[in-house]
Amino acid sequence: MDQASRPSESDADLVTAIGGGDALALRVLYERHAAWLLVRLSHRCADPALVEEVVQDTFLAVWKGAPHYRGEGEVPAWIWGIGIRRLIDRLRRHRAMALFDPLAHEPSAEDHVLLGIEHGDLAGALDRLSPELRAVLQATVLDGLTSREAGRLLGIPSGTVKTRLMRARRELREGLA
Amino acid sequence: MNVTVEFTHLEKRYGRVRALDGVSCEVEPLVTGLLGPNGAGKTTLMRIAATVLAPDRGSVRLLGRDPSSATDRVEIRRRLGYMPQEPGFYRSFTTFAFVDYVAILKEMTDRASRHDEVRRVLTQVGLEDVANRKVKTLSGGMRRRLALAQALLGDPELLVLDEPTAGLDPEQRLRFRELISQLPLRTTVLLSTHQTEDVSALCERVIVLAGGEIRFDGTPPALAVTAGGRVWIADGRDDAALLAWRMGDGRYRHVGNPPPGATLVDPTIDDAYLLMVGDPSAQEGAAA
Amino acid sequence: MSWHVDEPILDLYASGTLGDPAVYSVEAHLVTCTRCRGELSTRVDESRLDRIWVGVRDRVDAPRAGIVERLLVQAGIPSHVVRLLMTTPSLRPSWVVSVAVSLAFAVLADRLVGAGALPFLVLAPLVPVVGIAAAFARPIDPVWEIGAATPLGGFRLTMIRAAAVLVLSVALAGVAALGLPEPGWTLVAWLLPSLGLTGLTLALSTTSAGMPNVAGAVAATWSVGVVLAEWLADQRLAAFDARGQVLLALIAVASIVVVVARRDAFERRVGA
Repeated sequence: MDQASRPSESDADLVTAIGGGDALALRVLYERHAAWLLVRLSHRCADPALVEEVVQDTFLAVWKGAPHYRGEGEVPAWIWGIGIRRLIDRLRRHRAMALFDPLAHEPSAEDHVLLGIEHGDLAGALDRLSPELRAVLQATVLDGLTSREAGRLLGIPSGTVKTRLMRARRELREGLA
Repeated sequence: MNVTVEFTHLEKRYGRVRALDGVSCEVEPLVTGLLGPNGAGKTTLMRIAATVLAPDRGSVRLLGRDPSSATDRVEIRRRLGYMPQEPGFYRSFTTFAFVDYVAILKEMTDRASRHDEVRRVLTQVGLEDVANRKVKTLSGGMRRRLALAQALLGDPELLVLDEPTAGLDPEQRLRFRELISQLPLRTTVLLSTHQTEDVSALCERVIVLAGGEIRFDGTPPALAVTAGGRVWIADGRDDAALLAWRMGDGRYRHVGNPPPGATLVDPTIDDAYLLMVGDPSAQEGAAA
Repeated sequence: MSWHVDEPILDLYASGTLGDPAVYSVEAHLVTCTRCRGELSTRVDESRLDRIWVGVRDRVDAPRAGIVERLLVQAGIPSHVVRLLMTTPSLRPSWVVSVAVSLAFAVLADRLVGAGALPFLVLAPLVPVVGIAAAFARPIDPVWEIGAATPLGGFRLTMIRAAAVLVLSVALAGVAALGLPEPGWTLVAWLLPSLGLTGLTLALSTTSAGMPNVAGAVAATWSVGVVLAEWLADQRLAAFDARGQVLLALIAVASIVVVVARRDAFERRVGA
């Protein structure tokens, strides 16, 4: 994938070009963003084929939706919003396996050390949360989903999402105090 | 000699004009140029070669088959690519969709392989970047390339190109020559043009058609030779010549019947062509 | 941006073995940092990304299928045939609408004026005739010369388009016929005439008369013929009785024979 990368054009410029029907701009945008999207989605769904389809669908949606992009937020965040919602749609329809396995990502000792240097107490406080509470935090705060969407992703009712979120915040506050 | 296209005593008349008046020739798997002035003859012959037109009289054999038989005609068309002089398009189609449509007409029914082939020919003519643009947004030169692209679908054995370089700038002309030279060796290319530089750059054989008749059928160097002894240079313009023009160094180049003692020069294809078709009496004879 | 993700962390993240809080940290950072995104790209399998891109590119390039196209494909018609049909002028919505309106008028006339279904029965068989004339009029198809040199172009494409026009016309007339006040045999009395007139139009178009003239002649003869039959036999809808139906069926069959025998005329229609 070593085509002209148009380094002087910002992501927003590319999206504008894509909105005008420039398929090459879509290619460049893909080269910039497909990789991290793939990895990030893979951390939410363990089915690699499904994740690949979602990445494909996402860039198709970018192609179709580019004319309507009004610059609301940064382009990567926009792409992520499309991608995660596509994933949720797919998971709802196909009831795919292993949406998000809360127990699969226990931090290693190495991570503890590295994070401790960079982020101080927050990492420790996050660590002490249960995986279920962490999952809810990730879905709402990090991924930007609504409680309903988070519920769909995690397979729990949206009410449960809200209560867990409250608990998570309270525990974090206590942990940091 | 492997003859892929054979015309025998072709006649075609439009009203009182005889576009083809007893044309016979044999074409091999080479690049053959059909050179001649603008008029009904060249395009008529190209259309007959492309199975789009039937002659009034005479016989045609294309790739060993007879296009007057319906089944043979379909078989010929399966191995044929045709670029008309004035191609038409569905202007609201995208470039890709248009070539895709022609590909369907060429019986490529499997979507995936068809799309691969469409992309291949678009890349061959350099239009892959505008695959998603509508035909109506393409420039004239791009549309000619589009017409060429559809002719290349399926790697035809017989490629009939009517004035393919018309309207192309020099750079595009060069690309076109490159493209033609890269075609599979078994391809018979029949291209018509009224520009001699195309002939000298591209063609292994040249047929000069004027007034509905074949005036020459041979190699480009042999064509040039026919003007031997009829091209000369002088310091001043000699009005007795058929044609004369001023060269870069201030002298005049003449084509015609040289006066005694003239400084003869080696003839070019241009000179020979001019001599063959520039003679008004020859053209008058063909009209009914 | 002064802080960037350490390379070992990126390795872990890319391979899916990084622990949770670190994952959040990395992901939040990646949204805003071009450099780290680029670093991450080098850790992702390029062939996988290429494969996904090919899928995107194919769907971006491929001709967009409208609703009608998708419905027809769902109905079981092969997608390449549907694409051919999409370029037939008389299958355009404007034509369909004008036909539907005309048929509706005919039905209304019958209901309001009580003309005994005559307007409708005269009009319905002419719908495919007009449609075919529109589909074949050469100036309307700019791609005729390129198409004429292809295996499917010429006769076969012509027949595909004629069949499509006929099917659509029959469908529209069938729906409209349901609105006639006196149902019964009038529901289908126009069907054989449709086939007969369509066949006749195609067969006659193989002569040198030219499609618009042929279509006009067929339409005129039919209209006059129906009225004449009624007047001569002194019976309503005489043209549509058993003898009339048989006659039109025979015309349809004879036309098919003629069309196939003279298939050459549908090709190489280069003007003089």
